[in-house]
Amino acid sequence: MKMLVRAISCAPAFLLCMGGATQENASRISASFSDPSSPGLLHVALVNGSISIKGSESRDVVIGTRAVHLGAPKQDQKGPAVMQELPQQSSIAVVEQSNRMSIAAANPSITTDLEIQVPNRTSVQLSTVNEGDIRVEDFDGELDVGSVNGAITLSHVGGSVLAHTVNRPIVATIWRVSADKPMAFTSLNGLVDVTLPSATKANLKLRTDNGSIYTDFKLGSLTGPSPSAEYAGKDGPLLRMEIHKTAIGTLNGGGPEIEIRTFNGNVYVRKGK
Amino acid sequence: MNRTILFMVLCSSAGFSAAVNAGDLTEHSSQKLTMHFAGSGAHTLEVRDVEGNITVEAYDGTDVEMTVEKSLSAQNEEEMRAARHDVVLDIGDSASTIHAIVRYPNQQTCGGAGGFTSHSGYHARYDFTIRLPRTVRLQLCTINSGVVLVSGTTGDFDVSNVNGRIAMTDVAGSGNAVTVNGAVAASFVSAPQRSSTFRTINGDVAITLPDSTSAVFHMKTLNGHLLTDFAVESEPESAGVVRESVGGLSMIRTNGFTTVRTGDGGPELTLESLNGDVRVMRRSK
Repeated sequence: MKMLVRAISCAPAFLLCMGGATQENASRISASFSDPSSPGLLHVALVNGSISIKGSESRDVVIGTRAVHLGAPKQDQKGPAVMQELPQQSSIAVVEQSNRMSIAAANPSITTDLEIQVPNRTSVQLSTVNEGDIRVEDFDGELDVGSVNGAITLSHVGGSVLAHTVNRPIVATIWRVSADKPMAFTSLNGLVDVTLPSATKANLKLRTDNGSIYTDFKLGSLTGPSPSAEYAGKDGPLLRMEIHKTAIGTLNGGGPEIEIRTFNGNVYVRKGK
Repeated sequence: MNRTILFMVLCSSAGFSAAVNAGDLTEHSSQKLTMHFAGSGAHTLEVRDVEGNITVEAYDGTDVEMTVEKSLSAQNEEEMRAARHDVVLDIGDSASTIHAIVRYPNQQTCGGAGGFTSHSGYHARYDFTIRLPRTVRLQLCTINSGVVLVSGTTGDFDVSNVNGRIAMTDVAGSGNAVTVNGAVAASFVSAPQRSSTFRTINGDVAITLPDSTSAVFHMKTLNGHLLTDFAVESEPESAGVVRESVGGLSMIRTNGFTTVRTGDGGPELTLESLNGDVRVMRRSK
């Protein structure tokens, strides 16, 4: 009889879970940090889907989910006729505590495309794996952005940036660089194209293993790829020859480190305004 | 109390008839009732079972004809006596609502908010077979080892099950059909005119509607497909957002319904499963 008891106890929970909904439009919801006067931290993690961030002067985070697009009809195996399969609308969960807000998809298997307006000066952490890119525009704050199979595009962002993807390019246009904060833009199988303010003070570390490095900056104290040697091996001294492919140079006299690196692809460092 | 008991059989078969488990005692009885509504307002049939089937069929008469098959099984004679004493079928008629409610001592009836804890020493099963006037509103509820079958009614409905399916055939009206473990299927001769819900956790949800239906469908499943052969257009999701706050933690969840409109829109029909397909089908197909 345990089955009976369990099933009944499940029923009210199910109804509670599904009930209590307000008539707020689920495709655009607003969430607040508990202390909007202080910079918050926003963490967004998706397995399947894209993230689009736009900076705003509002105090709230506004989250939009893209409307479903109907597909073509197809033969239903169980039904009596040709049926149209409808895409499933993504469902998201937003949790906020102590000025730290996280956004995640309730069902990771459903592709979820998020368009989020974020207050400037927020620390933003974004991650995706499949089925979507990461795009940030007109944002001023701290960015920590990672993807596996998505491209990263940062347009007119200010602050500090850590950006990494595995199989797609990174294109970033930075209009303001935070003083004393290191930055990194790294890919494995995509080009990396970064535009920095012309007055940026930084120590640049640039590298590609299968590609070329291009820049219109004048780099000071440039040290190019050079051979080095070190000893290794437990059965006796062995001379290991390693060619460092990292180009190191200073911008405007030097400053915090900015690493721009890929394995397969070109590296571009452009001078902005 | 104006009901007429037409037939009643009590068959005690301690130790002889087929038992649920080895060593169980079983006892069967059957009663046939004819009940009458009173008053000119809306008439309602309320059946609250715990274990067993509820089968409802509409006809063109004015009375409610109810057959109740009662099956008790117990581990021993003492438990059988307890079953006979504890479990009561509460029947009432000559009112706007005719009811048949299985009651256990100190327990909620089916659909009650407090849940139900079964007695470990016996089972009491009631199977209802009912014929009733077509326009009667339905409130049907069972929990275990039963199905709810409805055919031909045109009144509004509130049908629930827990461990079994719900099937409604050639019906009309608006309402809710909700179970937990089992499919929900409903075919309508005319589409619901007000918001209606068809929901399960484990099973398919399928409704069949006239081709001319105008409605908004809110559809959702976790492990399954959303399918329709109606011509539909996407609608902005408006099924709701749940906001909760506990201490310093606040949480927002969107319900994640796929919302589409057919025709000019109209009543909002919510179809939801967790593990199963959700189908909205045209009646002509």
